Amino acid sequence: MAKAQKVALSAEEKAVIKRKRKAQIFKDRWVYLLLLPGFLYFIIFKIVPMWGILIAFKDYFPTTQFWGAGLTKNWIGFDNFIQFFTDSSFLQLLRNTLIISLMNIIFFFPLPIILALLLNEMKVQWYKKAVQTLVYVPHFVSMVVIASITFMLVKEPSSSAQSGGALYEIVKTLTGKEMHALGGGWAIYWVLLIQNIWKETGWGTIIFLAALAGVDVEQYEAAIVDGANRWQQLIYITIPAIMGTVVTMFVLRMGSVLDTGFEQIILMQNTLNRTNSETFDTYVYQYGRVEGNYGYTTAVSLFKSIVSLICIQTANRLAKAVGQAGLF
Amino acid sequence: MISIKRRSIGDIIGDIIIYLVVTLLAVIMVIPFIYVIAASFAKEAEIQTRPIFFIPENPTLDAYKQVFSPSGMGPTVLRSLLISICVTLVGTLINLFFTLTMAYGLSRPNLIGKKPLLNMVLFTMVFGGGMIPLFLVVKALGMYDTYAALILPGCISAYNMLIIRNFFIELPNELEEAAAIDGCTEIGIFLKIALPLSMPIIATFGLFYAVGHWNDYFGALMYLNDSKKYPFQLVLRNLVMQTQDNSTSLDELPPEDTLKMAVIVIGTVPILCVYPFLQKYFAAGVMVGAVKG
Amino acid sequence: MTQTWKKIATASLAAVMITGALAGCGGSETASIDPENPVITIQTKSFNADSAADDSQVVQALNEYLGATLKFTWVPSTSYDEKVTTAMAAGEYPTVMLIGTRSASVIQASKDGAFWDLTEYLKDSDKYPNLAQTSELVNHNISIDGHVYGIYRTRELGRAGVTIRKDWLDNLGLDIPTTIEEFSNVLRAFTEDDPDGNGVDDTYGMIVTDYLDGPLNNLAIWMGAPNGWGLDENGELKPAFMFDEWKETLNLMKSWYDAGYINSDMATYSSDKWNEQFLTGQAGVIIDVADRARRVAANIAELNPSAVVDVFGYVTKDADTEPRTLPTTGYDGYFVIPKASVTTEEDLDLVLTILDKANDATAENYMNYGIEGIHYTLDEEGYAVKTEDEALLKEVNDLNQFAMGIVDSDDKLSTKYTVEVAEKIEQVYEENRNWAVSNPVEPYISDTYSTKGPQLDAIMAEANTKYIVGQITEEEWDAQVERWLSQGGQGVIDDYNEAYAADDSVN
Repeated sequence: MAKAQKVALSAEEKAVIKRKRKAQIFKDRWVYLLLLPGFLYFIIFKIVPMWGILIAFKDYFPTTQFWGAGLTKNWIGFDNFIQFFTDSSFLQLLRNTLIISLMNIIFFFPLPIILALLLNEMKVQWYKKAVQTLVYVPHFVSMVVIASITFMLVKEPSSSAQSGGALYEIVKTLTGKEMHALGGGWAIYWVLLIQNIWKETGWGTIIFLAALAGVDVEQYEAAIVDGANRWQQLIYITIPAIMGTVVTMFVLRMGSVLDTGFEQIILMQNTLNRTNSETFDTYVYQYGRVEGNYGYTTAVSLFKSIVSLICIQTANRLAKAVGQAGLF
Repeated sequence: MISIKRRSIGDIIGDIIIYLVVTLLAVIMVIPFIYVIAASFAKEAEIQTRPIFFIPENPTLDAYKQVFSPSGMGPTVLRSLLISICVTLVGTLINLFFTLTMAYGLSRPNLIGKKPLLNMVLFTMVFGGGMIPLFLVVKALGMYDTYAALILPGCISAYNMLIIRNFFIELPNELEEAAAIDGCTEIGIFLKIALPLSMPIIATFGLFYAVGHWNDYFGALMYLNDSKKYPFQLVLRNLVMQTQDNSTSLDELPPEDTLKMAVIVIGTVPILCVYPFLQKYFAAGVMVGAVKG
Repeated sequence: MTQTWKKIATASLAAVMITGALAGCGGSETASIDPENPVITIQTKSFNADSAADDSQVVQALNEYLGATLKFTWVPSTSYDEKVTTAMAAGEYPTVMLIGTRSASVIQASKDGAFWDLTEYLKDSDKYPNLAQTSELVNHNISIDGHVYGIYRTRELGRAGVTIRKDWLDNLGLDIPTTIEEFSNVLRAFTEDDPDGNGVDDTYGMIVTDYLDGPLNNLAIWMGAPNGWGLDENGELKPAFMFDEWKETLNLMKSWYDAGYINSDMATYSSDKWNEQFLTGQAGVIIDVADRARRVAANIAELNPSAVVDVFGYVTKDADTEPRTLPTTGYDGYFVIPKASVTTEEDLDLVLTILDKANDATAENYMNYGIEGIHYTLDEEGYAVKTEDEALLKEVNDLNQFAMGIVDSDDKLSTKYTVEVAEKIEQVYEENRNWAVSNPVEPYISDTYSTKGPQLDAIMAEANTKYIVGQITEEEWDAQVERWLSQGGQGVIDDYNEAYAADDSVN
């Protein structure tokens, strides 16, 4: 649009626009000052290291020189990508990553919102505060501890004389079936999901509680006068008030659709479930951080980035399409 | 809220259900941590043989005595705790300064250059140069083996910044316009209007950043050389993650489980204490009250 | 707006160039080492929260003995490899650096000439009498393309061993098994014949964990399979699982599993809890390292004073077959000398002289025990008795992570263990060494393996486990071997055979 207009503009009009721009910039001079520290941060610590992306196109190991004499050497074009995409395990990794991630988005994402709304309905303040503090404790329990507690709960009996872990026995009593939580199949996905729900639901409420703190109390008072019941207050006041935050969080979550983390999965992995639990992140951890195949793992990361970009843009468009502000 | 006097039966049933569900959740979420605490007071043999328990049979302070023993690892533990507290405090303040200023700046309407800046932020959120280039930048700036390396390279989380920006955008415009008429500069409006109105958000993200600093071990592992500078999480991790599998030498026994549990408790309690202090900012109506006052 | 974009782009680009230039020349400027007072920085693993400080009495004593000033960089053992990889990328090198795992990046760095090639230096017995005693076998194991880039930290070769409940054997009137058949019988008796005599069927034979490879590899060696890789009838190197003996071993374990001699949850039983059911008297055999017996013995005494823990190294396939044991690689990491920090041959000579001296018994006693009279005393038998003063013990913490232990010397101190089984463990080590079957491909580098190794290993680990627990049939197991071959295994076989053909030391 801007370009089309430019043609039609006379010199005088151009000057006016330029003057207006200058005036606007001058008016905002203090805003630019506020932006400066953040701007510098992004340039120095985010933009400058971007050259690292080029490593994806090189045969690169930690001691390989990138600058200076090394600048012209070891370029291998898309070999790293070709190796990755044609790797027999690529589809497996993609499948596992998507399953774990989508299960989290579908089942885990709404939970902190629901819990925050429940907490918001509690009127006994001291009790509410106590509960809030308790539910966010798991966030701080190290994954190692969670893993060992999980092992204990779902343990299968070692011999016919023994009984299994508490959860194993409960499932057996209720359904008569033996639960192989850490064996093959889909079980591992549920284990990972439940661990995640347990660890992060309480913590996830914080952002929504902050949003709820911003809801104007007068609106509720007015609604009560109008005879709105609790449910109606929730539907017509509370939820619309935090919808912006929910959408923002959702759009951001979509940006990390291929992120599964590696620590939790590595702790729960064994030979029976590995084919189902190996994801991009565990793969990159092993090949990059431990082995140092940086060229290859940078290519994997770049692939993940591009997918993220597409997802986050799509989610943002969708948000705008349904009338939300979106993220940017 | 005092005006709610008549309570229907539906309301009461609703309340009962809500309280029951939330209480149950709270119990489920806290039980494993109670086990960790119990185990930290138990004898090693009990942990090895009892699957799960909440009260140790023979409670003992041995593990804590060992962790805080003044002639043993005590000084190291205390020093690293102190380092963690300082890094967390300073780091969080720096995080908030950088994040809030930028988020506010980007929330201003009609700002020329806003779009490209936002695009840049978004770009860095999705793409990154990886560990090595960042390491080289940190080294070139002379921050290697200093605490600056733990704080500055992550002083804005684009994710947090964008959420805060959205909150700033949703602030009522009228107040700012009024302040502008009173002769406030944008910085004045930021300090006097926007910040006080955003306390819940500042508290929330302050907490997020603080927890991030508190739990970070990787930055310290990468950028610090001198083990005397190590923060608590790195010390904790080395104790907790040790198993017989990764101790390859004959005489190195992994630390006992009860000791591991004790350091986990020590590493968790300080940061848990922060939250109750922030809770007053989450009470409903804080923002509206601030507007009126 | 486009202008702002351009400005941002220009500024960024400029910044990129500047830092790039800075980074490009970073790390290369290192002053040479002062021969009068050489300062040696050492990066190694730490296992304790408080490793010995550079100004501790012990380090001072060590400094004086070595004629150098040692400065230690202690890196937590649990993240050691990650630190090495990143440090190499940033050109951040100490004078002497421990290599924990021979990762792809370490191999590449060695090939790129980042570390001094020590092959010839380690043969110079006039200049470095101690270093010249490094074992040829272990040096072969750590070599890359025939070059030795470091000085290894010696570890017991014959470490494998079986921990067993001796009192159960006695109750049942059985002896320590010597053949596979007897071993099978012990497992059966431990499961079926009520070894603890409580009248309840509440015991089973052997605990196997999700770390199946340990017990399986030991068993396979006893059954006659090669260690890792072996030469087939055509003189070609093949992985152990392609030999018939491997399948026999799998079938043996499967029969034990089916009969309930092994815990039925072995595939998901965490190896962190390996000791648990042994300690609680539910099972009586663990195949792992012999020194596990010492830990188990120390812990079980508290729970069940009547329990007796014993250890043995191996059983043979038949009464008349020669024993075979699975050795370790004989080392736990090795120290490299980066060229970035030690620039000249003179400096290298100086560093090697110091490292040579660090292998003297005196120096190693400092590292392992501290100073006599302060950190330990000698009992009448000549064993070192460590002080109980924590503040003093702290001065020695983790210094043993610098000890290489290359020279066997009577002047080296040792401690006496309180548990009875400790002496037996030493005997097991010694006996095992005589029958060790070495892994022929240990020193070879396979490019295919370094990119696909973890995936390939996972295929066979999964197949082995599933076969034993009965999730797949023998035909399906064979199909997994084919899959291993097609997904890169054939490439690994080719790589190793090529390296083997080019290796002068074996032909």
